[in-house]
Amino acid sequence: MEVLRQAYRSLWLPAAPAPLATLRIVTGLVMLVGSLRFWAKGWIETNLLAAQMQFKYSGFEWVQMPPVGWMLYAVFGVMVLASLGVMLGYRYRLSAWLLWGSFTYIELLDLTWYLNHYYFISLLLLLLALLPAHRHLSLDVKWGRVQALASIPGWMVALPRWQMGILYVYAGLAKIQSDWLIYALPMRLWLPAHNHEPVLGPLFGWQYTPWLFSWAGMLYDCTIPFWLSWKKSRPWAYLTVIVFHALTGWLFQIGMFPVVMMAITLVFFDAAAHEKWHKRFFGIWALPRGIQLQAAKPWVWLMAGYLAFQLLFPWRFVLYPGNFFWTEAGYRFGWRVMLMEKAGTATFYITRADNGREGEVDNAAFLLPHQEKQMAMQPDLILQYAHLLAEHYQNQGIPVAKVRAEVYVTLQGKPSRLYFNPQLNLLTLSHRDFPSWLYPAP
Amino acid sequence: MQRLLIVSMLLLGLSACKDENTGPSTQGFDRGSMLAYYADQHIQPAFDSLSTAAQELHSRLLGLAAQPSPVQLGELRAAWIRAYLHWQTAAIYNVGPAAEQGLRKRMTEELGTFPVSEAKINNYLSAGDTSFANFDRDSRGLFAIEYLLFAGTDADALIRLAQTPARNYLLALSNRFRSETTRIASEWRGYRNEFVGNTATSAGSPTVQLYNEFLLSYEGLKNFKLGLPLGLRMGQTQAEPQKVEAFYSGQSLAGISSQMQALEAFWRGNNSTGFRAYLLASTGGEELVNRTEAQLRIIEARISACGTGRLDSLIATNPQPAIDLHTELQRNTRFFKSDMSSLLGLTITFSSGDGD
Repeated sequence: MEVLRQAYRSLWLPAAPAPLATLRIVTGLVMLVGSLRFWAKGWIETNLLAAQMQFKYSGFEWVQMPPVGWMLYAVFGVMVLASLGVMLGYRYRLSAWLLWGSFTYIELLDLTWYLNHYYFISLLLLLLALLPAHRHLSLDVKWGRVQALASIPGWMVALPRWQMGILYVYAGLAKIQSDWLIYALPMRLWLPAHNHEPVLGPLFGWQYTPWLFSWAGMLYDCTIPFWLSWKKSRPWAYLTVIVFHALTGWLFQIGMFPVVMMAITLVFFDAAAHEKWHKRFFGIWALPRGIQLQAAKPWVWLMAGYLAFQLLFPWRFVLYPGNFFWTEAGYRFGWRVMLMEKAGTATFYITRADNGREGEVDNAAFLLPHQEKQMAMQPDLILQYAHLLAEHYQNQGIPVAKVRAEVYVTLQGKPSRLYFNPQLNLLTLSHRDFPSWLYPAP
Repeated sequence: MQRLLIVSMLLLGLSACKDENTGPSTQGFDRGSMLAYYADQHIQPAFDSLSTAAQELHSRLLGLAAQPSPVQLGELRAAWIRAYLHWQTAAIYNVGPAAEQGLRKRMTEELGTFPVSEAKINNYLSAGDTSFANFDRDSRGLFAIEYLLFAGTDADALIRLAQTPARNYLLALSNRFRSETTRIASEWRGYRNEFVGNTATSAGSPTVQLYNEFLLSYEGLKNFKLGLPLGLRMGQTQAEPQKVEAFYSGQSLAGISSQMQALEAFWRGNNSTGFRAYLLASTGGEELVNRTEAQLRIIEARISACGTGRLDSLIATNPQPAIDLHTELQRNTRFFKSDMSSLLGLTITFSSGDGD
């Protein structure tokens, strides 16, 4: 209890701005590398511009692709420059809002590219744009654009730590279920595909390895924020962070995510550690000096509200009936990572209103393979696709009476099952509603 | 941290005890032997047979008399049909030297586009343009050769083969078909070790490419060789029997049957390796193998039910057996597509991207 009381008091005490400055610098750096990497891999073209159709987030249907391709490159250009601005702390507020805006815009373009860690980055960028992360160790300070801060309220440093803590603990709680712990699914399906890897390869072919990974993963996610918060265990915990994320990054196709996590978890180190690093990298310039910042009350309430939202929003799935792996109602934005192996085969049929003739749709003519893969197993995307198809043919002068689909979905490697009645006219349904039209989970 | 590890090991021990139904192997499935088996027993023989058949077709064309006899025409057509049937097997493997590279598309598209455009063929033919320096893939390849050998009556074909422009174009087509299939067969020999040596399962790895091409070939059979002529595709207003593959020779059903046999042989492999053995070695694979085999038997029966006549006539007069075949192929799609990729941890996408 005393620990908690102390922790609470420290929220209101002045704290050194150094951890926030590190967070700003490493976030800007990984965003810079991440956006350049996305560009260099040609993904702006192959993953975004090459798509003929986009799937929308409920409530964000108004976010559209730019009318011409170069504009999307311009958005990435803005992202690159804004990342630099954030990293260096140059015209910080503008840079941070531009970075948050451009990144979030790209994420909202097509729901089939949804990733928990993209959502996390959006949240982190939002927090960074709101916090005074540029008033220490920045060009804005150096060039006298803003006054340097000697201290900030403790909660400003705690906030990003809590955000990370929520991510980890929720990801861990989501693993406390029988598929993950008792049946080691989907690890049992995924790991054997890595038995060719050098050195550790034979381990992935060993029959008990999936259980080892499942349990270690659950324990890691559930407890790592606490190990990182406790000074005595922190160095070991950070070493574990590196090993854990390096391993998952090597095994699974998760791109920048491991690097992002290794960089962002640095925020858990105390101010003294940050100041030591800063001194080594930036010399005398890194010494905190300036005024004490006192946050206005409304800001405190706003941040408390933000945290409450983050704590509650992932639980919304309990409001929906049924197996949420199957329905995916309330599945997104809940830090549920690597929990399921799910795949579908979806065939769409369209009935013309003029002659009543039914035709089969070639999905590959409209969707990227990745989009088809995502669409074929997620109810709201199936509905969006049905509406997009109807719209496409109606624009071509073909009146559409009905769009139906025969969709088979396999979950955790179990035999695939019919997802819903293949005679159902999907045009009568909306992607915003709970998918009560699905057959029950197997 | 040490405590954490100890706890996790203990829990691991507990959970492991509960499970009695673990996978059959301790080292996991040997993808290297599978790839070697496919390369040596399936892919290389398929390309070798195809290039031999293409050589034979081409040398028969080279030895054609100025005024060909009906016997010669018959021999030539028989040689084309042999090449066509070998094509069905080789065209599953658009991997390595047969894959898309730069401007060159996959072998199936470069050499096997159908339906061909009679108008384009006749234009290039009368212009004496045998450069193939254009993107009209429906004016060349196996089915352009077929058009010139089979279209019209026997008398029409004999007259055509006696005329220089048609002969020249046909020779150029056949020479290209011969040289391309020979190139692929010989380059595959060089590519073999690279193919076998890479046992990764990431996007673009040999295992994933092979699986994806198998899937494309299967879906192509259903969508283009049956769905298109049956008029089942969205936007079609009626059946279009003339859009069957091998329309002029009337060999469509023999082709479909060969392709399905080749796909099935590929999926089955032998008792110790191949995708079927790979599935059996993975969690829950046996049930999928049983379901797939049951469905494959139904498909075989439906193919027999279509008879041995012309597919375009069947579609024009009594399409039901062909529609039934299409339906049964559709029922099997999910076994090959989502169920199989899920169990094996293989990705259906070709390009890479991030995941979580």
